[in-house]
Amino acid sequence: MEGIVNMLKNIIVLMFVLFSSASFAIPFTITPKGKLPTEVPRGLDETATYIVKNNTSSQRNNNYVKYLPPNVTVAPTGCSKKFNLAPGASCELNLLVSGAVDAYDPDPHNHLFVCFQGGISCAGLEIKNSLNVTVIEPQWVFVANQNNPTLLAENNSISKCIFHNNKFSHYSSTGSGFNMPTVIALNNAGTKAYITNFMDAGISLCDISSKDSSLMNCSKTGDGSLAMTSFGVSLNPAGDKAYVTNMFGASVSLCDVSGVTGELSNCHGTGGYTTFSFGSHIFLTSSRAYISAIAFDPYWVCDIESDGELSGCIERSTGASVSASGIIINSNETKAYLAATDGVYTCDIDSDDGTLIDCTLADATYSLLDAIVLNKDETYTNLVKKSY
Amino acid sequence: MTLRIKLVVFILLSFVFCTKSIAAENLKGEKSYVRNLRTILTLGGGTGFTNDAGAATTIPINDSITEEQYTYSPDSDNQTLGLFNAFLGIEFPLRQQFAGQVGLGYYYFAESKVNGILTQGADAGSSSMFPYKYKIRNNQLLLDSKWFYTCNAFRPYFALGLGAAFNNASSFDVTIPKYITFSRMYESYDATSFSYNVGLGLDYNINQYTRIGIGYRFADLGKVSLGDSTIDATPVSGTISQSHFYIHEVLAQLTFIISHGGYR
Repeated sequence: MEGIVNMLKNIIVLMFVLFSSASFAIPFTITPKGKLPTEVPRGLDETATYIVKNNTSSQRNNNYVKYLPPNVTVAPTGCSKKFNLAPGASCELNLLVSGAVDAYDPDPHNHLFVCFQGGISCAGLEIKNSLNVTVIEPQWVFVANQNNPTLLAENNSISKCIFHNNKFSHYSSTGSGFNMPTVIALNNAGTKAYITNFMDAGISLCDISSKDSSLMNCSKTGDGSLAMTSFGVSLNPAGDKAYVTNMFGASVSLCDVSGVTGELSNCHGTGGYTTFSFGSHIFLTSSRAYISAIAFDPYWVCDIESDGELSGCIERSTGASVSASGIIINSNETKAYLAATDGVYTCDIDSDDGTLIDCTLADATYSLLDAIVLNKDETYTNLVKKSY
Repeated sequence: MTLRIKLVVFILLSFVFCTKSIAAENLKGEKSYVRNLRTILTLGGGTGFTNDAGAATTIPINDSITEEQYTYSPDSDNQTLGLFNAFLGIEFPLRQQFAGQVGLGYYYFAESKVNGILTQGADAGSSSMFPYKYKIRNNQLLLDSKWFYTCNAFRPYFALGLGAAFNNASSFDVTIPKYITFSRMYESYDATSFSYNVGLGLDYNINQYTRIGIGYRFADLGKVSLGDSTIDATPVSGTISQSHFYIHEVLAQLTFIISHGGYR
């Protein structure tokens, strides 16, 4: 009988040890604060925060982080690498993750352990709370911060950030010499960026770093035909022509693009005698150009001639009182997405003449939108919101 | 009634009946004979019974700043383990129906297992329980003896052995969910200590050269200890140890009389 009781006792303890989801009463309880990162862009850091609680009934001084996974360091804020804790007290342990972390690494020394002074009484993490991080290749996004430089610190600059899992992160400012930058276009190779400057006639041409996609060596390009208040810029699929909308000039400029330096030259008006009043964004399909008017309903559809000139430009209306600023069209040219004052509109495209038809408000989550971008597989739209 | 108690009772009864039988034979005037020094080889095997594998051990906190307390509580489950026995010695006559055997006895015991619960923590609020286990393997080398009372073909005896036990404790392991804490780990250790056994038995002469027998022994195998301890490769003092490892044995033996020394 005694043997059976002992056996049952062992089984109960073993079941508890193996399957319990409760935390163990070890020197410290270490629990994640918030969601732990599962991916880190190559070359960058992610932060993971844990709450470290002193489970004992006595003051514990000189506790320290004895082991960390590879690619993880202790941030100076919070508990830091060495810390004191009163009975039952806790602190935040901030970790910087700069690479892959394997939660199932069989070597315990590749896991987080926090110890009393001396390093023989330690607490680690249950696997379910351990870091498990993979490295991803970052997809960089550039955002033009157009507003007046006196209003916000980040204005009059270009922000660089990573877009991943439908979220933006890792913002930083990049490039220089902008004057109310408005729209950004990249060449096909992703090595050059063209940025319109609303308060300058010239277009900023920057090299894009192959290392971290920073904008470098920014300088003005384009000759005198580019007026002030240039707003939109697009490159044709071949990458040898650039189209620039001049908002207050009510015109569109066509420039040659150097295949060697990327410099713009021979800029001149195109589109015949069409007046593109408040023409803002320009989007090119295989055979047409769509020009939107900022915060107004009209838009223009032009044919693209073999030499790149715009012709047959016709002013049209969405018929839905859409005050659209940004416009983008999917790759098979059947759907248009409009960034408008009251949200995102979707329209069908008449294949005969490129007219936008059946425009409906698809998403009113955000308003006062300035621009819209489709991701590569066209499953997600990124919006740029106008701020006042 | 357990097997070993039944066996002891049987052997004791055989003494009683045998005594009556010899008395009757002596009344008939028949001569008994006792052979002089004979070389004896005995081989045996059997089963050991113990609930003494492992002992409760507490390794207290010496430095309250750095250390935790470790309390090991083994379960007391009964274990049975096989054993092998060999004896080489001489047999010599004593007065009348009494004879003795003295020689070198070796006992090999199969592995016994220690299972228990470790309670580890700096204080009650920070303590957790984890199962632990290790193995014990024992060998015994004794100056072994049997003291017989001869009764026709039956030879009930009292046994006594004194010598040394060689006890190995190894394969310590503690089951802690991965990566939540470190615990003490122990090296294997061979302990040598004083050992003895006492027992009763009954041999039966199959023929002039061979006997078969059964017997019971109670043995103290002495000290069993695990070796040096480390926590995450840092050496720490204290180990799991027990000063005595008691075991009950039931043996079946086959005895060969290798040489006869002549007749009295």
